[in-house]
Amino acid sequence: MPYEIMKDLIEKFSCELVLADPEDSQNMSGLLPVLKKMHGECIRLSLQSEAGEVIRARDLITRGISGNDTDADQRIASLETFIKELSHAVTNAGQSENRSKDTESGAVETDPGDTADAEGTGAAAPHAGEADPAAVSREASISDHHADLETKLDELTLLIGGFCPGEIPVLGDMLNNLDELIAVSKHIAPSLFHDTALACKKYVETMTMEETSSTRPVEEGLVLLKSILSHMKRNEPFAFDCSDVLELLEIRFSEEKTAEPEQQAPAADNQAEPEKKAPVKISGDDMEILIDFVSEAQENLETIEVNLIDLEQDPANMEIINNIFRPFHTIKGVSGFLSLNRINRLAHATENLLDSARSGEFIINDTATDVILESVDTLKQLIERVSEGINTGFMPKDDDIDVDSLRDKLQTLQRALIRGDREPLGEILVKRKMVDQASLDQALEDQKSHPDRKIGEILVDAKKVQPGQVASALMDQVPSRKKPDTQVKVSTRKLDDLVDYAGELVIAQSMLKQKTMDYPLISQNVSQLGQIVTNMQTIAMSMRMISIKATFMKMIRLVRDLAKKSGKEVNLTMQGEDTEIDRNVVDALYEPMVHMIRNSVDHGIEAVSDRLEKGKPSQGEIVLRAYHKGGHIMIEIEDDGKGLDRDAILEKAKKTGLVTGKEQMTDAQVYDLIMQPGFSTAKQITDVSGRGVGMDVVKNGLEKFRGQLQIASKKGRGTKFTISLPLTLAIIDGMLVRVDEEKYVIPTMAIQKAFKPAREECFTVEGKGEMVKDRGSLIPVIRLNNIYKTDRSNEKKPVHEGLVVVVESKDEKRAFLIDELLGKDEYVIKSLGAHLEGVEGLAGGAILADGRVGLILDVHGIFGIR
Amino acid sequence: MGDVQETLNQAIQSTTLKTGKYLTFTLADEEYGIGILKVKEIIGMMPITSVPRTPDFVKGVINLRGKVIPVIDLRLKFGMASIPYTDRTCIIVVEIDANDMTIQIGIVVDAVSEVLNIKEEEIENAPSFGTSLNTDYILGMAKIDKGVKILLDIDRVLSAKEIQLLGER
Repeated sequence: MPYEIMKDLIEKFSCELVLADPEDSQNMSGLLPVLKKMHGECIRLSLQSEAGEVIRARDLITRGISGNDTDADQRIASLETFIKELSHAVTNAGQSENRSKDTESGAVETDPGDTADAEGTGAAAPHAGEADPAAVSREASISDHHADLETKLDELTLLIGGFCPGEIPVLGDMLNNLDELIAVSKHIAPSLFHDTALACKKYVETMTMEETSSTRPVEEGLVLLKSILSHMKRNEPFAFDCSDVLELLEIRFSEEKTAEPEQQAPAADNQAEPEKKAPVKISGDDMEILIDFVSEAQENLETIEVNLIDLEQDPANMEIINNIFRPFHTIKGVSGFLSLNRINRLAHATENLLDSARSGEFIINDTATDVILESVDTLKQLIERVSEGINTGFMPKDDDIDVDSLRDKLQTLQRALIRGDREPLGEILVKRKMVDQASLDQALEDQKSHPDRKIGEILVDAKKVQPGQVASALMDQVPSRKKPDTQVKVSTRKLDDLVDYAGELVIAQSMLKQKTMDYPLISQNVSQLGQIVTNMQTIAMSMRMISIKATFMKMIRLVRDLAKKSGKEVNLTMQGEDTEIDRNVVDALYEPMVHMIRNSVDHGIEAVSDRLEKGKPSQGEIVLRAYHKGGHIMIEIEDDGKGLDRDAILEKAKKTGLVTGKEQMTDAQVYDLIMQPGFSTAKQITDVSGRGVGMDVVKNGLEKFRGQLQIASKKGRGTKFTISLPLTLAIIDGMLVRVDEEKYVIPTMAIQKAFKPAREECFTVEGKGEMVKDRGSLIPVIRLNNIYKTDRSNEKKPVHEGLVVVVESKDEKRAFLIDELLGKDEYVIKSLGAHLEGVEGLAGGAILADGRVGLILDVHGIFGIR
Repeated sequence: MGDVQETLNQAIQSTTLKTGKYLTFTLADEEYGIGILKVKEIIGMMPITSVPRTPDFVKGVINLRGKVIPVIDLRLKFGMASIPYTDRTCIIVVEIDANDMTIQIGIVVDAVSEVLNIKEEEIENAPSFGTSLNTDYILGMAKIDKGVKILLDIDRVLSAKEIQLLGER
């Protein structure tokens, strides 16, 4: 029952309306999200006029909030009328839906609701101060016209509903009907109704001549006419983007080459382009919806991109097309509601293209993918503007972003595309080297004499292939897509809480275990509990993990674009794309990967001619590989390009003074040079890369997230970059140490060594403090209890009585004086809370094995404490 | 419509007015109260990890079921003499609003007394001690029976800005 949701929404709205305080704009704005949903529902149920009503109600509220309309009670009253009428209309529509659908009498049934609607709001409208007085006086004569038009429209609906292809008499009736409509509407402003009716007539004419059987454009036109009519009855301008309907009607006769001037298109454009010249302030309630919209749309566009890439591999897969279609549809719907015209129109045009693809009219090819991607990019820009607008509080101008040419492109493409076909089975088999071309030709020859036999059967009969092979090739032809698990959106805060509690459970469980060790009966249960707890913790941790696939997919897009730009042929393959990593780490990975992929395509892979000269296949290969290794995720980017040129690097390094040229350097050391700032061996700066910022940025970016970068290369054979990052940023490898009574965690990454200094290795240098000697160099000693003022005894313990831990950060070394090393473990980093965030020398807290809080040291921060 | 208006007004008043339930506790023989809606839970004394380079009244941090939360000694915060903790010493975990987010903070008090229903008419505004003394953090004084209880605006008592300012000193 599709009307159920609508009814719920209406009920919700009425409840909120009753509770709303008309004087309080904050309160009123709470109604807006419900209205938004209602609008979406209306569109879904194709209740055009109701959707119009919803928009009107929204305007009413917005006006109220911005304070232009002072009469609050009137406003509430008209809103109440609105919701009552709407509920009435929906109930009617719902009932008629339930009845037999032999004719489209459903529309007739809705009309009482509509009329009542118009009267109800019409009565309220003068109070809201928007009715045109002149229009009221003319109302009597016009309403006659309206009734006339309404009957005609209903008749037409019936005709179309009962239309079967080829029934010329019915078409004649339709034409008559339309003629009458045109005649009546000639004197009615706005001319949009008239124009649409004309367009419909033209289309029906083409139907008679061409024997086109699709009545969809006319139906759309009819819906449009009806909603225009209902708007006219309420004396309000029709504000929807109806250009698509007109286009739909027009496409047919532009193909027909009816060389008449098409006044409809400009009319539609005028409707759709009330571009605001001055920046418009966004009201607080709109802001909320806008913020929702932006985040939703950005997410949607991401999925579109990923799916488009999938679609390229498998252009006929309806499910993928659907997955692309749906987000566009959502964006279109919501942006229409928010009157973001440009976004709306572009999304709409793209949606149209996809819709035809969806109904199987053609198959999305490379050009189509390119255009859709272009549309995605433009939408991204537009949405970026909106989000800028959210920050500044004003609707930004987006006039400079060109939508129309893209729209034209989409439309031409839609027309140009014709139905393609699936890859023939034979080709698949040949590609897989299961049969050779000769036997396939033979089989195809056979097929000509037995047209009803399938190629697979012939091949199996001729013992060229095994039945199993054919079966698997068939599977390939229509690849089965495994259904993704249904997913739930959960706030990260809840996830973090879950992880916290799981961690606590582990601690509590281990304490329980110690206490129950002597009671065999209980201890058995406890160890079982332990098993469950451990599993639970693993799951809780894994909830923060996401697969790296989305990031890899973006790289495919990047490689695709870069290769096109540089005229090289590059194929990117992924391995281990299902490897999961912490979602924060994903963000850390993206930038460096983009840099390196750019490097690979631009510097690594050679131009096609060079490759052929060297006896390599013309298409370059880039392999993206992800896997886990010892608590780290490893990402490899490997290309089969020209590799790093050791001599060129050394020469350049000598020029810039990085090396003297006399050192003996291993290959790895030489390659590491390219990670120095300002180092680039590219002979010329290209659009893609080679500006001299590159690898050092990558390196720094990774180090920020405790990651590393390694380079391996063979000249002429290719280069391999390996990134290693910790699986999660929330966990740190640490050494627990004791200083007096305090326990601290020192990140293992920073620790170089720990040793007990001999008395003769300790010095006090005048003016510089205490030092210890390690392998010939002097390292300043830092007493943690001193800088942390936890030292209760007054006498300083001599350095040689304790242990020193040598730590290094950013090429500086210090020795921490500690009393005891307590062990090495993994710790979950926890914030100390907003109050204590800024404490110098502390990176955060960690729950220790005994349930107490331990402090994690920020090694570099400590160096700065004097 | 009128009725709705009334109900709404009442609802708004009840949230803004001081009438309501208060958790009272003692601190150096004085009775204090915190709005019950601010109180998350009351826990017994537990090991506190002291955090270096913070003001004295910041006792440190504790592990509250996997969350690290700061603990503040209200005696020290109010400039009273510190006394050794007894088995009646409690940590009241409160939720305070700071910079658009709610954070949990523990406050150490001598002992928790009871939950009281205090009416508007029983509450007097905080006495003014002249300009030199800031009484912002006092919501009002409640006269119950013979005693006077000091109602605290805990958001202000524990504003992050103040704590950080002190930390920098």
